[in-house]
Amino acid sequence: MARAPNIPARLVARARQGESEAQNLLLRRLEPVLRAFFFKRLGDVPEIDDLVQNTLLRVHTGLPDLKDDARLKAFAMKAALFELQDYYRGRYHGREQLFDPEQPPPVADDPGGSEPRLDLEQALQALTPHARRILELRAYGYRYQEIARMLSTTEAAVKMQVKRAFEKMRRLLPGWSEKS
Amino acid sequence: MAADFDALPFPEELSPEERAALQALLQREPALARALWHWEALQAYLRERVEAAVPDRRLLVLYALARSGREALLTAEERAELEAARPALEQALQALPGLETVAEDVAAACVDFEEAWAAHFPATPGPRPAAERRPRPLHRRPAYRWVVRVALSGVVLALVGILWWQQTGQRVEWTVADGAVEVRTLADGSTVRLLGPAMLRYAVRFDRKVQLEGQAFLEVQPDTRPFVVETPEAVVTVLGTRFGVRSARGRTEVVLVEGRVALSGKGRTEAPVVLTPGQRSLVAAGQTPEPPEPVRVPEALRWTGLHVFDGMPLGEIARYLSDFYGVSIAVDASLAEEPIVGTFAQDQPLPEILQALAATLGARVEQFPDGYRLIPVG
Repeated sequence: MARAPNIPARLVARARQGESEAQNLLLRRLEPVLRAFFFKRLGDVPEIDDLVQNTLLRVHTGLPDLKDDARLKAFAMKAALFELQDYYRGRYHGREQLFDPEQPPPVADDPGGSEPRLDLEQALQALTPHARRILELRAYGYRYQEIARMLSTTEAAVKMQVKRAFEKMRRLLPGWSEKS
Repeated sequence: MAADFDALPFPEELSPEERAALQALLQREPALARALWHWEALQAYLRERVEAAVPDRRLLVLYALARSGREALLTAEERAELEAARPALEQALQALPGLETVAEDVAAACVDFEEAWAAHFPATPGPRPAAERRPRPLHRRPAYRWVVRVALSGVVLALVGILWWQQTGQRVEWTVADGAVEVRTLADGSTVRLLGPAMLRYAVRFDRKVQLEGQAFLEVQPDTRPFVVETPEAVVTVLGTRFGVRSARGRTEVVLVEGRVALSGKGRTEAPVVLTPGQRSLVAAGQTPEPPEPVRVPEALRWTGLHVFDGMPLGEIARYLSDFYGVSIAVDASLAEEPIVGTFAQDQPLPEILQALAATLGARVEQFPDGYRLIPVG
């Protein structure tokens, strides 16, 4: 791979002082690094362009706060890490669910049964630590493929854990029977 | 397309057609629908718990960086933020073990970023966790090796070049573009840091003779054979050394860091000028080298992109770094006269450089809002 010139501290200093040309040059030099980083983390997802641009915006906005011109790499790394966290958070937000959570469940709970929240806590307690960790990572925003990588296992194994967790939760539902 | 029961826990992964089939199934199977309703409620509940545990994910990133030995990457403000949030974060990690895995993933993401950076920019040493850092050798006393720094102008003595070429046969031509910096290790273990625009030629069957146009900083391994750097204006002969060479506007500049160097004007027959550590000489085309003059090596070699310390006392190093980075760096009186030999890349974070200096002397670094202080341990 052809290597670009390094980013000299002088360029960073000029960018910090508000020189547009220096700022543009600096961001252009950062772009391929960010693109490679997000590709490595997420694969070829459609959002990579947005992630790169958002991170460059973070760098651009934060340049006046960069106190040490030699710390650009650390600064850019943190901007990319923060952007990635926001991406994970927003991944499943607003996704269309099968059911409206504000509405009661399709079949009424048994009279006197627990509030759903209490059932949910009980359901979580019933899970194995491994299954719970997987569900927490999923809730955090990771895909099952990424969770498998993080836990040094396969996606199939992770999904098997999820299925077992689902079955365990079903058994805890009031009125559950083998015939359900 | 029929819905697969196995796919029930993963409704978000269904295609629109599969989703429609599932909803039709749920209409027919109310118990199944109830189970899936609670499953979605469980997912939402977990998301709420994660959000409540870590409302500001920036802090989790900072926590993960500090925990993985990358605290030097944090600014003073970020450190203060993290310390204020640390009790709550640690409580959150205990309550939700998945967050531990997230913190580990952040550390892994740092490695990915480092690799992406290294792949796109020249190989200059970057920030590494303190636990993994292997600083360039720092010595309390200078070790004398032969060092030559030769700076050469753009005039090439073709006759010498042709003769040399015929003698050495097939040659490597290493060119570095303007603004780029590359580092290469030669066959004898010597390293060359070439700063573009520059070119270095040497024999494929390396014979410790190189032709240089431009700027370079060399660390030559000791050997019984002399190492010769030939530029358009000068010939530099060393045995083993560290030096910088800069050629510009018809002149060659040499700064010696360690050892001893013999510097001759190209095509001249006078006895060579001998440089000792901390000296600089200039050679103009067709001239003999100027008498060596003493220089402060870190300032004289600042153009290399390196901080080169040649046995300079720590107190002076602190003043040099303070001037370079624009922060206050104080040194305890008991450490100020300790000589340091070492080399750091200028883009290495200042806290890492100070930690390395402190480690050499068995000292430690204290950070304050406006700077740093190096003090003895205990």
